[in-house]
Amino acid sequence: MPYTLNGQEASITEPNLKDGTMWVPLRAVSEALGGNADWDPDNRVAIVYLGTNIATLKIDDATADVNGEKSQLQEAPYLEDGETWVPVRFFNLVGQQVRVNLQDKHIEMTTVA
Amino acid sequence: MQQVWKRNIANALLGGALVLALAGCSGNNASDSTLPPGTVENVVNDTRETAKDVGVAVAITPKVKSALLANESLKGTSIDVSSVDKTVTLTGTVTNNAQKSLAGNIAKQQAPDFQIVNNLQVKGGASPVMNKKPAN
Repeated sequence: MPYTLNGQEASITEPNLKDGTMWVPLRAVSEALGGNADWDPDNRVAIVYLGTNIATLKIDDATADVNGEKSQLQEAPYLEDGETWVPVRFFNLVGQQVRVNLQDKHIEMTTVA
Repeated sequence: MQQVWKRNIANALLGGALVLALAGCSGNNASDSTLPPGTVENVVNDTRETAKDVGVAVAITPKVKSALLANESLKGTSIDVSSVDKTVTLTGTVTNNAQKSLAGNIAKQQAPDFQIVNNLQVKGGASPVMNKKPAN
C-alpha cells in the first residue's frame, strides 16, 4: 500500500513522482484522512475541508488559500482524468505531518492539528 | 373685602395642592430606594451585555465579509453579510453549490460562536450532482 494515513493503510490512487515532486490525488487523500473535497467548476477551484481547515486551490496556480492566508505550493495543481493532483506537501498546510519515502513511493501522514 | 378673602382661600388651596403634588413625587423617589438591592445594577448590566453582543455582532460582519471577498473561489459572487445577535446571515447569489457551501463554511470558520444562516441563491440552480461530477 502506498499510503499510511493516521496509522491506517489506505488503498487509493498511487502517488505520482514527477520532476522531483511527489503528487497525490486531492480528493482521495482528503477523504481518506476524514475530510472532504468539493469542486467549483466555474473558477476551476478545488476546495478542501480537513478538520477545521479550509483550503482552496486553483488549477494551474501555485498559490493556495489556506484559512484565508495565501500559501505557496511547490507546483501548481493540475487536472488529470477528472482528478485534481497536488504536491503532497500541500497537506502540511492543512494540519498533516507528512513523511515521504521517494524510493518506495510510500507516503505517511499523521494529523497533528 | 369679600373678594380679597375668596382670593386668599383660592391661593391657599392652590398652594396645598402643589405641596401635595410635590410630596407625591418625593414619595415615588422614596419608593425607588425600596427596590430590591441590585435591581438597577442588573438593568445596567443587562444593557451592557446587550450592547456588548451588538458590538460583537457588528464587528463580525466585516470579518466574515472580507474573508469571503478574499477567497479565489468566491470572486465575482455577490454576497451580503448581516449579523444580528448571535446569527450571521448570508444573502445574495453564487454560481454553484460548491461556492454556497464554501461561503457558509468560511462564515462558520470566521464566526464559530454564531449560527450561520446560509440564504445564498445558486444562480441558474445548478444541481448538486453537477458539482460532484468533475474533478478532484
